[in-house]
Amino acid sequence: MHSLTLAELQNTLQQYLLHQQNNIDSLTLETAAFTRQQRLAIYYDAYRLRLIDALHNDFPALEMTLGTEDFAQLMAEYIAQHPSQHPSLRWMGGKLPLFLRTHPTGQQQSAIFELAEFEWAQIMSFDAEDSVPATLDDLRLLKNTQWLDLQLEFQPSLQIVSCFSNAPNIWNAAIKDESRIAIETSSEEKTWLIWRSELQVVYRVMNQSETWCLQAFSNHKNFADACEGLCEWFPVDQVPLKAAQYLQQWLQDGLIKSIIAPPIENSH
Amino acid sequence: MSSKTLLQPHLGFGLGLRREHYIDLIDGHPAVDWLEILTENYMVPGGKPLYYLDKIREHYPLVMHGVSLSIGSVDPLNMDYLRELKTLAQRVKPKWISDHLCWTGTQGINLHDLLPLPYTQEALQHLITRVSQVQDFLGQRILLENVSSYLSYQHSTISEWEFMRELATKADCLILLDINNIHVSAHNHNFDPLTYLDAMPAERIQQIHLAGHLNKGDYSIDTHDHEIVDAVWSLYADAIAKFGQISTMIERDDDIPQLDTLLAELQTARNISAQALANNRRLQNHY
Ligand SMILES: [Fe+2]
Repeated sequence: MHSLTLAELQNTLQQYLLHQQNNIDSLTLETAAFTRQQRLAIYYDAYRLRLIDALHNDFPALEMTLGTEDFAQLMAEYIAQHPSQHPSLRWMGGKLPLFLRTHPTGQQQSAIFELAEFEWAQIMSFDAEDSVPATLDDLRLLKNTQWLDLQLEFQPSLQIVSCFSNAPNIWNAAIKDESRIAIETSSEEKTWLIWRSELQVVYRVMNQSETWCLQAFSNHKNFADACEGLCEWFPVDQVPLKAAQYLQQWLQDGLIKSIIAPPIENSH
Repeated sequence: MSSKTLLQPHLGFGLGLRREHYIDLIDGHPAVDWLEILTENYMVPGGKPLYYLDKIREHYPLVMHGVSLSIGSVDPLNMDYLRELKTLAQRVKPKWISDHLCWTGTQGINLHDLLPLPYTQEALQHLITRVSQVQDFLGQRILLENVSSYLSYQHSTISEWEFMRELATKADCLILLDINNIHVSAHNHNFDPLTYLDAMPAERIQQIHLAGHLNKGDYSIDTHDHEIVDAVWSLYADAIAKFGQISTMIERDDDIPQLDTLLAELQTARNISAQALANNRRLQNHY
């Protein structure tokens, strides 16, 4: 037979493993007891099983909700569309939330992609960069003149996920091996905050005003901007206190990496 | 790179570091001489994996074992991966760094499998160049491990063991000899495992892997979810008798038992190694 180059050979086998394309019988040797087809099937099957297993480890609640078989079927579809391009399986699920958002399964039931988003956020938070959280003492050091221009840098582990469904509760029951919770979807979206406290990933729900305020600060808005925006929810005279309370809460949660304050002006 | 002894000092008997055993290792400091980490599991920005790794590093020498170098791929070397590897090595300070004699994908895709290479002159030249590039970048020799395989190519012009020996000698790299993989591949491709051992350059074997597999009758699958079988122990004894003392570790990746179970299995490795070395000495004294 025509002798393949190394590149041709790798291409041929890869196309087979990805899409079962190419007649590659002539590529490999066989023995009577162990045929070509068996040999190739081992690699073909192992490729899918390994990646589905990685996704099974990363998305336990999604699997519990879909059922093992439907999960495997859906993941095989996902893998076919998004083969790994990363040295680590850690990143295999990165495009799954978006894939499910546009997939008929996700379009029928928003809880499906919301679960994937919530689980992926947990993963991103789990091994995000370490950092020492700012404390209330850092806040106490501020002079009155510094407050209005104050900005915040949040922890690298901070993730925000919005859900119409009870996906976070389904997740919680699944990882605690509790009995399955039925999917519930409301017309009102809830926003969840996910972050790492010490080494543990934790999460809680936020109300609308806190969500708005946190998003404003993560978009580099300052305290004055935040106060202005919060007027939508609170009377003007209560707004600075409300914003300060959020700050205090976030510091207690360990959500803030640093408080960025303008230099103190020298009065001559 | 050249020096009188190619090898790093002997480490003794080790285990693969698995997160199921983090706490036992940190709290109890059980008698394991060293641990092998799976490189890619720690190529993360922070959190628990690196926290525990730093703790464990205080008590045990570590070596780094990767699966995504893809040394045999025709794609350009992944420099981002190599930079991450080097950064992790600066943190871990491993006694050595290993990966596999295989390719894992091409055209930017990672199939996450250790795919066999065709054993041709073209592949050999390709790998010699690549190993040299990696070693220059890392500033140290790497170890390459023989993989379990289920297929072989019509195109191969030499055997796997000849390929491994030629590559190690010409690229000046070291060998991680997986005894279980030799056994599995010997079953699947119908060769004598001793032929493989006989071809290995003793002065380049830095480490040995032992593991369990699944014998399906007509072929075997490298599963790492069973205990080590007698035939693999026996091949291990042959290897030690032939090459002398070699740092040895047990790989267990699935159905991970209690640490004590693995420590007992590691004791078997110590006993077999000691026995093989003693027999060897008696033989040498005799002649
Ligand atoms: Fe191995």
